[in-house]
Amino acid sequence: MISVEKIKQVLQARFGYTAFKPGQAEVIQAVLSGQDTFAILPTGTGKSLCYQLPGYLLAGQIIVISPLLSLMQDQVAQLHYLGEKSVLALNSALDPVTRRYGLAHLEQYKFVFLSPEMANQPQIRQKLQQSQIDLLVIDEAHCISQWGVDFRPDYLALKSLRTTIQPRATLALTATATKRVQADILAKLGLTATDTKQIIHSVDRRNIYLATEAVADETEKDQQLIALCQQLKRPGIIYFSSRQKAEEITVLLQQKVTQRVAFYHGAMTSQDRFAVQQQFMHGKLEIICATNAFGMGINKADVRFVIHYHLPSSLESYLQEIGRAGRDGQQSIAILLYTARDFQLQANLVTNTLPEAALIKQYFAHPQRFAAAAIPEIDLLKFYRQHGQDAAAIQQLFAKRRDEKMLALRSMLAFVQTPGCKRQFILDYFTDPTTVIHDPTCCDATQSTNLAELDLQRDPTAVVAADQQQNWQERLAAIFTTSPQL
Amino acid sequence: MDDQLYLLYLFDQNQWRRPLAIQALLKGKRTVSNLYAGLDYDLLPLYQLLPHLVTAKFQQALTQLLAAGLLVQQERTIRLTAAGVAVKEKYRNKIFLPTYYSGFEFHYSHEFSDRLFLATQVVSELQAHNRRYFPLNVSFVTQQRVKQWLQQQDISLIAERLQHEWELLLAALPVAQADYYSQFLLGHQVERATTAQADQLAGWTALTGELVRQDISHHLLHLITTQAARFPLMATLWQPLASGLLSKSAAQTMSLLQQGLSLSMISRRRQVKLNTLKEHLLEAAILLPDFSFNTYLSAPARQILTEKFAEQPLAQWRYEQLATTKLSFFEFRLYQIERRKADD
Ligand SMILES: [Zn+2]
Repeated sequence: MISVEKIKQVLQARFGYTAFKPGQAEVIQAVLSGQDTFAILPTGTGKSLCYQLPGYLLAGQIIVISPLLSLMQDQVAQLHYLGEKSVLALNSALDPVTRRYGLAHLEQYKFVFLSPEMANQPQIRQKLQQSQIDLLVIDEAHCISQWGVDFRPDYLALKSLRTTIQPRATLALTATATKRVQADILAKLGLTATDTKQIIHSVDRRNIYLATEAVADETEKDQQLIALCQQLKRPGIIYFSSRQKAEEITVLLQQKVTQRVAFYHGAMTSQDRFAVQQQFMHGKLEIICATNAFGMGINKADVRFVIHYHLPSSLESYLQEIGRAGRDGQQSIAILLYTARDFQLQANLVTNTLPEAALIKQYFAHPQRFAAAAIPEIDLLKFYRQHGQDAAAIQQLFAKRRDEKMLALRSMLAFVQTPGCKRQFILDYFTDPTTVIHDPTCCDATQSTNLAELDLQRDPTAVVAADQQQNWQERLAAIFTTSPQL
Repeated sequence: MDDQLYLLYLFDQNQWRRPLAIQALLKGKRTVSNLYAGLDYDLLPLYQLLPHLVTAKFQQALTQLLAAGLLVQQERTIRLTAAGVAVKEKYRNKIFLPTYYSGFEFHYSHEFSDRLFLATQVVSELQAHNRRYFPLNVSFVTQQRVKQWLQQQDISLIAERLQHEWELLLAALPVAQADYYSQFLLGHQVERATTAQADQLAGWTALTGELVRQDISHHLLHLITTQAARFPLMATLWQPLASGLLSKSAAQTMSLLQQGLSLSMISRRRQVKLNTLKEHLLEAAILLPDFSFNTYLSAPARQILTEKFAEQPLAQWRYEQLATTKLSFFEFRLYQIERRKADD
C-alpha cells in the first residue's frame, strides 16, 4: 500500500501542486491498490492527473485509450511539458516509419496512448499481452455507450482487450454520463458494479454562470456577440459549428473589438494550430473563435467566458465546452446565443454524419466498390460489416442512432427554453443528486445577467497596447538573447 | 489580386496544355506522364509547389477563367486567349511568382523547415535554461533527428552560432520577406504566427503567402547548400535530407544499371516489373541533365524515329504512327524526351 505522504510527494515534485482537486486523490489511491475504478469528474478538474501520477508509482506500463486525435496530441504534449519523455502515441495519423518504430519498441514506454482502432490491431494486442500493464485507462469512456451521443463502435472491442492484456487495474474516466450510460460503460468493459470502485462527482461547476440569449437573426447575433466581447472580461472562447463562420467572425471581431483574436479549427495545419494554442496560453490572444476541435487538452486556467454562437449538439458537448472556463475557480460565464433557426441547422449537421438507408444498401451490395473511400460513414459501415452485421440490422441501428442524436439535440433545446434554473436542469439531466441553490450568481432564470455584479465586466478604460510589430532583427534578438528564468 | 489569376502563368497562348497534368505536377504526383507534361510545358521546377492544392478549388478557378474568356478549352486541353495574355501582362508586377523554387532539388524542404524551426526553439529554450515548454508539434522522426543533431553540437556556443546563421540567411532576403518569414520563428517567450496572421499583416492572400513561403524556403536551402561553409549548423541539419533529383526507386534502378546489370536482371533481383523499370529510365531521361540517350536508344531505332517524325511538330507525334514498325512505346517516349530537351 502506497502511503498518502508518498503520493503527495510525487504530486509536488512532478506536477508542482500542493493539493489535489476533488476526486483526484480517491481515484489515484484506488488504482494504485489495483482496484478497477470508474470515475466521473467534471471537466476542468484534472482528469489526466489520475493516470499521470500513478505512472510514477507503478512499475509497469500505463495504457491510455483516447478517442480523439487532437485530445491525444494534447495529452502527449502535456506530459512532454512536464518533462516526461517516455511517451508513445499510436494512431492512424502517424507516418508508417514512426508507427513501425513505435510498435517495435512499445514495451519501453511508460505511457502509451492508443486510438481505439490501434488498440484493436492484432500486432498491438500481441505486444501488449507480453508487457506488464499496471493500468489500462479508458478516457472519455462515455464513447463506449451506444446510448451516448459520442458512441464509437471501436470502443466495443475494449472488453476483449481487457481480457487479453490483463491489466492490474482498469480506470474508466468521463466527465459526463447519464445513469443509463454509466451502467452501459461498466457492462461494455466487462466490469461489475460490485467489484468496481465508483467515484462520482457532481458535474456542476458552480463558478460558471449560465446564460442563454435569444436573438432575432444572424445580424442581431453578430451585434450581440460584438457587444459581449467588448463588455466581458477576457480571455474567452467562442464556439462555432462551422469553420467558415469561425473565420468570418474572427475578421469581424478584429475590426470591432480587438486585434488579439484568432480562429482555430480542424482544417488548419498542426503547426498553425500549435501557434494559436501557444499565443493563447501566453496571453497574446484574448479571444479564440473555435470549432469543437479546440481545447480538449487546453489547460488555460483563467478563461473567463465561453460563448456558443451555434447550438451545441448535446448537453454533453455543451458541458464539455463551457468546462474550459474558470478552471482557476474564479467567477466565469457561459453564454449561448440562439435564433429560432439554429435548431434546424444543427439537426441537419447531426443527421448528416450518419449513413442514409440508400448508402447502407449500396455498400452491402458492393462493399469492394467502397474500398478506397475515405468517408467516416463508410468506415462505420465497414466496422459493422466486419463484425457480422447485415444491412437490415445496421439500418435499424442507425435509425436508432439518429433518434438518439435528435433526442440529445432536443434536450439542448429544452435547456434553452427551460423557464427554471438552468443549472438544476443540467444536473437533473445527468441524474446528479446535487440540489442547486439558485441565486443571481447561478443563472439567468430569474433575472437578466448583470456582468458588473458577477465581476465579469471588463474595465472599459483598460487599453491593451497593440503588439509592436517587430522587424526580423528584433525577432531574432528576442529568440536568442533570452535572460534565464528565475 | 485574385488567387485564380495565378493560373494564367501556368498556361500559354500557343501551346495546348492539360490542366490535370499541371494540377498533378503542382501537387507532386510523380508519374512519367505528369513529368513529361512538366518538361513539355517548361513547368518542371514547379513540382510539388502546392502539395495541399484542393482539386475542387483548382477546377473552380479554371471555370472562372474560362467563363471570363481568359482561357479557352479544347477537349482536355487549355490555352490562353489574347485577353488572357493581356491580363497576365497587366498583373506581371503585382503577382508573386516563385524564382528560387526547385521542386526536385529540395524535395524535403518542408521536413527541413520543421527541423530548423524546432531546432531554433530548442536552442532558445536551452539558452533560457527552461525545460518546461511545448515543443513545436512535428513528427516523431523529426524530433529524433533534431535531438541527434543537437547532441553533435557544442552546446556552449550553439545559440550564438545559430543566431549568426539566421542573420546571414535573413539578410540575404528582401526585407519584406525576411520580416514575414521571421514571424514563424518561435522560442522562449516568443510565439510564432499562424500563416493566416502573417499573410494578413503582409496584405497577402493565402495563395501568395504559400508561394512566398515556398520560395523563401528554397531560397534559403539554395544558400545553405551552395555556401555550406557559412552555414555549418544548418548544412548539417539539411544534409540527411538531401536527395538526388530522382525518386528513391528510380535512383536505385539507375545505380544498378551503372553497375552493369541488365534490366531483366534488375527486375528479378528487385522483384519489380520490367515496365516499372522502364518508367524509372524515362524519369531519369526527363530529370537528369546528363542522361545517356544513346545507351537506351539503338542507332537503327533512332534512324526510323528520325525519318518518321522529321516533318512533324513534336506536339503532334503519335505512337500509333509507328504501328508498322517494331518500336516500343518506351523508345518512342525516350526519343520524344530527347528531342524536347534539345529544343530548349
Ligand atoms: Zn440557476
